[in-house]
Amino acid sequence: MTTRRKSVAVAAFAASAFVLASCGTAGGGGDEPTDEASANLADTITIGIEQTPDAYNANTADANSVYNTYVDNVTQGSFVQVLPDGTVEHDEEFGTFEKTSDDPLTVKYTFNDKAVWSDGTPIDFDDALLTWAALSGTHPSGEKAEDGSEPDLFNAASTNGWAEVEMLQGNAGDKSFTMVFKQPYADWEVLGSGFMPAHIAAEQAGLSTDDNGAELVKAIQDNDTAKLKKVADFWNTGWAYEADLPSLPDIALLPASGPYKYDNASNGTLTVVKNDKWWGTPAKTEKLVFKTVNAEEMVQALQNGEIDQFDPSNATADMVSQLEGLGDAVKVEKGESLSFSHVDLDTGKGGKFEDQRVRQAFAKCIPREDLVDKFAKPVFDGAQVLRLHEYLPAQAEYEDVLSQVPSAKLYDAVDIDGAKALLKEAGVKTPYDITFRFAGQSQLRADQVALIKASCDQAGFNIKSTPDNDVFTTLTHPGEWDAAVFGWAGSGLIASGQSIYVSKGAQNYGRYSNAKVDELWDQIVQVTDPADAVPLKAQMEEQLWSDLYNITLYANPGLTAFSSKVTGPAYNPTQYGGTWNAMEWTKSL
Amino acid sequence: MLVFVARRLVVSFFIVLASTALMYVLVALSGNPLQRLLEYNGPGRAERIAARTRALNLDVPVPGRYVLWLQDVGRCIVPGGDDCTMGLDAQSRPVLPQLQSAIGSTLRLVIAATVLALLLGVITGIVTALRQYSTFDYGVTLIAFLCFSLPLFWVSTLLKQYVAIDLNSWLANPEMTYAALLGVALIAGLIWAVVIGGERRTRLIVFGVSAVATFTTLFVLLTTNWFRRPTMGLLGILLIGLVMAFLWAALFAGLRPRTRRVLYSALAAAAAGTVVVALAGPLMRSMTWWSFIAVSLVIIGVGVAAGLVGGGHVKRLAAQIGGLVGVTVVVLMAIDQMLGAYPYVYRRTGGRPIPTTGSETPNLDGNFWQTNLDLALHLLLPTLAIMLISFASYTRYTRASMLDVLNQDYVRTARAKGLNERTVIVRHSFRNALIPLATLVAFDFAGVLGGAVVTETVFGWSGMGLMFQRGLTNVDPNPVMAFFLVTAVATVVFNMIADIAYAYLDPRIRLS
Repeated sequence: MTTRRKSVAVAAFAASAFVLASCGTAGGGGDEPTDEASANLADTITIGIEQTPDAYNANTADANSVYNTYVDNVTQGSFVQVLPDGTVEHDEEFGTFEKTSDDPLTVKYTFNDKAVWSDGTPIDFDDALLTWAALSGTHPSGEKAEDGSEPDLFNAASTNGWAEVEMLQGNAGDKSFTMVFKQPYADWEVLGSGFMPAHIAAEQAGLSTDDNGAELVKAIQDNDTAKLKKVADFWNTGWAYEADLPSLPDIALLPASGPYKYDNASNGTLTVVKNDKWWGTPAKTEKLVFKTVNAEEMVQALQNGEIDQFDPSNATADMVSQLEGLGDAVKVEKGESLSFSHVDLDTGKGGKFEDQRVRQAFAKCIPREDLVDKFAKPVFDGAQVLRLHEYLPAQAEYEDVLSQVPSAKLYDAVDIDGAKALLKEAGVKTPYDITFRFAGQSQLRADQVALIKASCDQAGFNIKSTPDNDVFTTLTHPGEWDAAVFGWAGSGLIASGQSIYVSKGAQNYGRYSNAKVDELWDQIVQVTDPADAVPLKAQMEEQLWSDLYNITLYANPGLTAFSSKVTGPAYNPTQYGGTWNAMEWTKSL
Repeated sequence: MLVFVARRLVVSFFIVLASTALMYVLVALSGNPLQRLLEYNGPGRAERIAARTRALNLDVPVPGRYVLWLQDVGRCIVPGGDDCTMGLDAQSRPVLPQLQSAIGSTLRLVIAATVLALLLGVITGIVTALRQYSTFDYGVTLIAFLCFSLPLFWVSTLLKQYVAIDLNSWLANPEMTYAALLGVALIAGLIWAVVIGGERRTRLIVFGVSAVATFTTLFVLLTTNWFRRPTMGLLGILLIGLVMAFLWAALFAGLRPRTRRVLYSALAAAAAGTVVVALAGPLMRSMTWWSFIAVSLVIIGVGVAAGLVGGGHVKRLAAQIGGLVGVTVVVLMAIDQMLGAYPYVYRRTGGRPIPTTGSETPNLDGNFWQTNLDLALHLLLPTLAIMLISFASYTRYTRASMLDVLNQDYVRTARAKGLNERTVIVRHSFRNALIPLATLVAFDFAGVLGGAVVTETVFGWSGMGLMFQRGLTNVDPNPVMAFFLVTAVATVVFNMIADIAYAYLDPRIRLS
């Protein structure tokens, strides 16, 4: 071929190629018929969680992963459900309960007549009695621990509440039981949960399960430590999963009492299916799959359809912008969670903030609006400065209580001159050195302290920004810190905040002490009607703000993100997490 | 030799001991293991703190805790020692079972990536060495250095976006504009032209042929909706098998009349292997690992037999190549079956078969091929990510080592005495060029084991990396130490293996 002919050939090739190129596409075929041509609802919804669930029995001290709750919401029934705004709703399908007396506080519970575990065994008195035995802390093991204390047979995560309950009276097979409290307990309404299948525990401990668990009931009533030890051993560890959930233990040991029952697990992915023995409103989707995905990888997994919903434990502005980039394929619901950020001050004797005027000066110079704008609003537009300690904006009572606490609004705006004046009045030498501690791993906290320093140094403070990898140990050593910024994870319960605010409370790191606050708390923890706690807490808040216990910043923003194919998920700031209503979710194909 | 091994083992033991002590102290001092619990303000705070203190022996000072940990490990070394837990994690669970399941999945990830990177890296390295200072050489050098400098987490995110999310969307409706088709064809033509090289005229022909071939293939695949219902079929296995048989014979035996019989027996092996695949057809649906191994052995056996029968005076070589052809047919068979399983996996994953995270699709309920295709698809992204980075170093080392050998006097002698180019390169140069690579592979394997931390975290793979990473963030020393113990032991052992292998491969080196 001569050069000339070659170029002609190349030109012809190129020309024909471009003609082809300009006219459309190759390939692209229709969809093949699907197997379920008639169904337009998918049978599986996949939920992304950041860590694997670690136990069927989430009531032990070792099973402290919140991700157990995500599963338990749909597999384990209870008498109450806590709604996203913190209000308590009775779950009449599981059973009913009512307060029958205030003195002593007495509550009568009745399981639904049709209530059975997913293996067919009725849910009745032995289950309730085992729950009391395990959670009341009344079964000393008889062995002394090294520190001299005597651990209970049951390694319960918490004995709060149940410890105040007398042994439940009744007979094996009863569908109802009565809780009689030794002394009033404010959160009595949420105690009716955490029931484990007593027949499984009895069987595994070598006890007979005949007559509705009569042998176990007798063992508990007679306080038969030898028998109870075996039951407790199984209760403590027998229901734990292997780390990272490579598989489930024998399914027969894991009966469910909710709309879903356990099916299988492999490589950190847990599947639950509709419970065919569930007597209440059936779940809407056949299967729920809990898939463990690293927090940073959730968005791409959602985009690729590998998960349908997730609920980040730590929502960041980055995540929000990534999610927004996905457009209509994904829906995002945001809100304020029940955990909140605050600045604690060492108010004890000899502390830098012993003088109330210095505390007030500090509160006046902290740019709370700015902090909210920079650190909370990028995630949730509606974020606001937090003005209370015991109620958060996500809770229904917040506005009502806030209106009764005038002092809470004194420090909304930055007032450098006011702060200077207060420092002068207090007679402290400026610049006033403050060792300001925060979690060393957190860039967020470092940025926040920098912002506070920029403002407060103008007022006469000299903030020494001190990252600390072990803040909580430092906090227990007075003198090593003057101020610290960190978060509290609120529970929405009435009584749980006590140890933060009373004199010598375990988490009262700033050594705050006020007789009136102590006395109010004594009353709060004993109210029997939640409504009675509100005015008491309002008084307590007023005292905290006028004394300036600490400076609350904002409720940490949170979100839930889900594929637009899924209907039902809604943001839930309580500790029950995003799956609180998962039995109602549906997914279109 | 024995003395050498014994001495190395003793020294290695103390190295591991010292490094674990250092590591343990560093992890134990990296934070407060009770941090999360101290931040927690719900019920049961004190009980949880007490439970964790017991599990991690937090009431003992750090050096004491290290000794306790050594005891826990010691129980695993002493034969018959019970209570072998390697310590408890922060949730009071024994570490050993976690380590066992983690090692399994990490090895799956690392072995696939290392082998693939090695194969590709060595091939590319040799070609670049043979085409030194060509466009191809420069191109590969550029890519290799690019891969070297890429941070893994970033590659991973890109891979997820383009190879998973975008490719999945494309697979849902596989079509290309003619302009795109043409573009792909031209690029393919260019690459082949540069790889094969030679005269201007040769290069033009190669360019034309491969561009047209690529265009036609893609066009046919697209218009027959192949990407939705991919298939290869027996005919495909036979054709590709024959081509591969020809290539293997040409590469390892040459096409001289003297070794013509090798070629014929290789082709016969491919054909016979395909026949076995056809006969095994009914077994395919209910395949298990055992029947798969059995079928594979039969196919390879048939290949070897074809070589022995047809090889004549070069029987041994023919049998080896026949075996290689057999392996090729087995691989083709597996690919064919997995392609057949694709529509099922496609449907079960909701039309998005390539995952970005995890190691399997839950509740797949598939047969042997469907399950393995799903596993392979889950391995795709992490393997690519690890491979891209190891591949770069293998390419560079192979190229350098091959160039070194090619300039040796004995290679010049071989050429001078009239040996053909194939023999010079395959027999005399390539084998010797592999010696330094043995060291590299041994080191690299231990390195990749440690380097899997990032990959596993990013791809939600629950292996040792995840265990390490989670242990470290929770200041939970025992899982971290379990990970560290494995990598430390792997490093010293592979180090020793490399030294022994070196002495074995290179007669000039003696162990003493």
